[in-house]
Parts: sequence; structure tokens; C-alpha cells
Amino acid sequence: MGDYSIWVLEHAAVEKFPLSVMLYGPQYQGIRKLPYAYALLKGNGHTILIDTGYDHVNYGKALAELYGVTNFHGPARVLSECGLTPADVTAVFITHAHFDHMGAIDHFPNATFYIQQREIEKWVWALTLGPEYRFLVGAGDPADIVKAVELTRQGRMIAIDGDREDVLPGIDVKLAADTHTYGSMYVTVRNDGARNSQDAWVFAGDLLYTYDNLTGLDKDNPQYVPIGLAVGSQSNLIFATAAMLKAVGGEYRRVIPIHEDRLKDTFPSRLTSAELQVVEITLRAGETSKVSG
Amino acid sequence: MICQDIGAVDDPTLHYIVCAKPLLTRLQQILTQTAGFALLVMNKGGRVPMLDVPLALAAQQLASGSEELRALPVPEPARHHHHHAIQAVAVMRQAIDLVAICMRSGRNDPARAALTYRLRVATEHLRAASQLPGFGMVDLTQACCACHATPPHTVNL
Repeated sequence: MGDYSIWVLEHAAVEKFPLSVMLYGPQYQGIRKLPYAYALLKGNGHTILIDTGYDHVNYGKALAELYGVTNFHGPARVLSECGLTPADVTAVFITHAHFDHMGAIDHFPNATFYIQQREIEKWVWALTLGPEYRFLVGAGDPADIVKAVELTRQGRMIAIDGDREDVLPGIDVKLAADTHTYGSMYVTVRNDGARNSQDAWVFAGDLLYTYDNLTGLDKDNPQYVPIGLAVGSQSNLIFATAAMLKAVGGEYRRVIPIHEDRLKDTFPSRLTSAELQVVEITLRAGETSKVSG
Repeated sequence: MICQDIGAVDDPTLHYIVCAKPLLTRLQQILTQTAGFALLVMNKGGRVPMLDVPLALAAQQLASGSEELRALPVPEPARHHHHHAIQAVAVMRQAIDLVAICMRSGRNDPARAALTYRLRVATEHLRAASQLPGFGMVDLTQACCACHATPPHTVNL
């Protein structure tokens, strides 16, 4: 039993996502479901999200209509499956500044947000390069950026410069520079509180899309295979993958790719009445299961 | 550039859309840039030397876009769009000035509050402007988790 209870909560999905984007290399090898999800942590007096998901208005709505993102449910509905409301959330770690990871930041009135300084700085730099470089920026809804400005003005968006231990008790962030984005970070939860934790979990953001990024498709001859979408280098992605795996003592299941549909088969889970998966990663002492009974 | 299905519109309106589309895209880029500058300035707590040149360039581009927008013939169906685009330009100009003020005034909250307000209002004007067929607020072709898909019913301008 650790300090934090941890769940992964699906809030939407792309039902047909090409494997070639999830995994660098395998062209024309089919599609998979790509859940949109975020992680919920409860413990040490905190209610924490790792990413917020997107918001099904304006940009998000247009995206859903044009690209087949289905079954969106907002944070109020999704968090209610764990007996919580958005107002209960006290902290949010933004792994990177893409719409499906930070698009709902204005839904959490009592939360403090953490993002990498580099993610902001390099994104602004990329904006100055001109429209022909817009691949480096990604799709940006000005409204989302304005929301971030408002949070920063209120002192509720904290930019972290690189690696930092114990941002919250037992929770570290690590910069993975020039990977999926310029300032992506992954979040390590040392659930026993120990510096050399024997009960660590890593939340990979989009540094991994699937467990197959950890092993490749040939399980008898495992290798790190990067995701197929990055502004940085494949080398950096591979070394970040190795670092994440090292942080959990080499135990693959403890590195959580938030878009991995097979999380539901790896951990206890249930399908809600809204047909969204609730995946229960671990429970602290005294916590009631949200997937059984 | 891919945008939404234009549908049936008269020739003057179609001409307006064709001319105004790149202008609106440019305004959206300038607004996004300005919001990014604001984010960096507020995050850094004041002066950010590397922003001097980009901020001046953004102001220059905005002035140029404003002139082109005002020079467009505006048919009746496009008046709504044109009004909001013009309003957006005015508010964005104020926002750029406020970014410069915030860079000099450190953690001056009234200036920051005014800047945030202007950014929000400019966003709303551009969103309203995007209601005219043929305009969209976001270039969805750059969405990271949707880059696999081909948008249906599109036209290339």
C-alpha cells in the first residue's frame, strides 16, 4: 500500500488510430484505439491530475467533428466516477502543451498547474519562426493560451526549470527535452516516499503511446521503439524511455502510457455507463476501490 | 490551407473570403504569438530581452494586416466578419502595447490584468469572425493526435 491511490480515467477516444503514429516504423500495419485519458492521484492531502484532457468546445468540438474523436465527457462527469469534482483537484501536472493534455485547464478552479519552463519558451520561439514552421508549434487555439496567461497572472501556473524532486511529496518531474515536444516532462510517483523507491510509477505523457514503445513488436527480442510523432529527436525519445524504465526498476507495467488502450487489461478496470474506462493502478490504505464491488 | 466547406455564396462574398482568409489566419497567428509573449513575460516576471524584436515584428505585421483588412470591399454577408476582425485588430494592438508595458513594470498586476482582458476579448472577436463560412479558428491539420486523418468536405484556398 502506497501513499497515493492512482487511477487512469478515459474521457474520449479516437477509435481508429494508425499504429504508425504510435510506433515509429510499422507502416500499413493497421489501427488501434487511442484513448484520451488523464491520471488521478489521491493522497498526502492532495488530489492531483496528470494532464487535463481536452475541452469539447470551440477547438475541441471542431476536432471531434473533423477527426473522429468520440465519446467526450468533461471532467465533472469523469471525476464523479471516483467521487470527486473538478473543484477538489489541488494540483495538475501538464506533461506537455498539446490540446489533449491541457485543453481543459480552466475547469479546475482550485488547482495549481505545473509545466516545464522550456515547453513555454521554445513554443514561443517556434511561434516567431513564421507559418511555414507551424509543424513545430502544433495546433494552438489562442483561447487555450489565453487561459494559461490568466492562470499565470493568478500565480496558479508554475513553470519548472528542468528536473525537480518532491514538487509534491513523493512526486518528481523530469524534463525530456526535445522529444515529443521541446519541453515534455514525465512524472515519477515514489509511492513509498523513499528516495530509492521500490514502489515507483512513471507517467509518460506522450513520450510513449503504447507499451510497445518499451519493447517493440517482437517481445522475444525487445528494443525501445520511439513514437512516430516528435519535434525533437528519436534518440532523445529512446534515452527518455530508458530513463523512465530505470526509474521503475525495469518493470514495464509501472511505466504508464496514458494513451495505451491495454491499461484496462493490465490493471483492474471497469467500463462506466458512459462507456469510459476507469483503470485502477494502485490503492493506498483505506481507499475504496472504484472498479469493483 | 484547409478550411471548412464554403457552400453556396455569392461572388462578392466568395471574393471577400478568398482575400480575407489569409488575413484572418495572420491575425490568429499574431494573437497566438502575443498570448505566448504574454505568457512568457508573466512567467519570467518582467523583462524578456529576447522578445523585443519579435514583439516589434508582431506590431508591424498587425499594422500591415490592418491596412489590408480595411482596404477590402465588404459585401453585406461579410459585414459581421469584417466588424469583428477590425475590432480584433484594435484590441490586439492594445495587447501588444500592454506586453511591452508588462515587460517594463515587472509584476504590475493592473497592467497584467488589462493585458489578459484584451487577449480574451481579441480571442472572442476572432472566434466570432470565424462564424462566416470558410473561416476556422484553428488549423486542424497540425493537431498532433489527429494528424492521421483527412478532414471531410474541405476546400483548398
